[in-house]
Amino acid sequence: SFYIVGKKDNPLYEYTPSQKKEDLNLLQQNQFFVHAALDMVDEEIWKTNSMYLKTVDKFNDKVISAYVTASHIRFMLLHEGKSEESVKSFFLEVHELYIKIMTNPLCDLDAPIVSPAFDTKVRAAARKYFQ
Amino acid sequence: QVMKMAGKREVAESCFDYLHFAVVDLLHSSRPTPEKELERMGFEVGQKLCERYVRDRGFFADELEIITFLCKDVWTEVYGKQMDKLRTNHKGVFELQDLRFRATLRLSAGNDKASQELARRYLSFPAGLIRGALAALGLPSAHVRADG
Repeated sequence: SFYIVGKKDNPLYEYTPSQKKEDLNLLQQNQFFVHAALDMVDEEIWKTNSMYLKTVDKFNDKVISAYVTASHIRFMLLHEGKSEESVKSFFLEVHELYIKIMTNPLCDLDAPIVSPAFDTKVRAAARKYFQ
Repeated sequence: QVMKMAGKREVAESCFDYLHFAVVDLLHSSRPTPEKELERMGFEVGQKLCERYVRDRGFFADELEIITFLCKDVWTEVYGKQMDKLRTNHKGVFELQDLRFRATLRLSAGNDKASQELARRYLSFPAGLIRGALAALGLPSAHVRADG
């Protein structure tokens, strides 16, 4: 699952590849893990200068990777151990998409991203790097 | 032979200058609070431009780094040159000086107070731009004051 969290810890975007109904419970759990991992992210950002933070937290068999922009927007990915390289490339590509959509003057930086074009492109990127 | 423009599409900088002049005049003659609106416009532009300009760099370590980034990179991208002077009293107040500020460079006016008042109108948008940039980079409660 992939989440974009804004400056005030508000969720801006969420994408989960799975479609099954029983996973809805899991979805809430995932959101909880990611929220808890935000604290870890806040610690890590002061230790390094780069935007990609690699793995910040572990939960059972899942791992959370993070990427923080200089404007304090966090991209979080909840996964089961994908390769560092592909996660980093995915984050970079989504960052580009994020910038493109945010330069829209009608778009609010603090509001959730609802553009279907953005959604499609993020899904395409996820397929490209994770399949 | 037709010459094609290769590379990025570009627009003359003066287009923005004229647009800015026109917007300032329009707002000042038709709206009750033109400064606030200009400042708000600058704020949104500043925020969004900053998202783009910090694409390749990581976190800012402290305030001074943010302000330096603003003076150098952001100002260069927007106005084509860096800020000329930066002063601080180390207690949170920074003074940024641009000696050849594009927006007011080509205004013809005398040195009297009334002209200065008029010139000051053109500073709302850049002040908002700075405030927006600061907000995007982690200083959301900054106050920006522009002086001619």
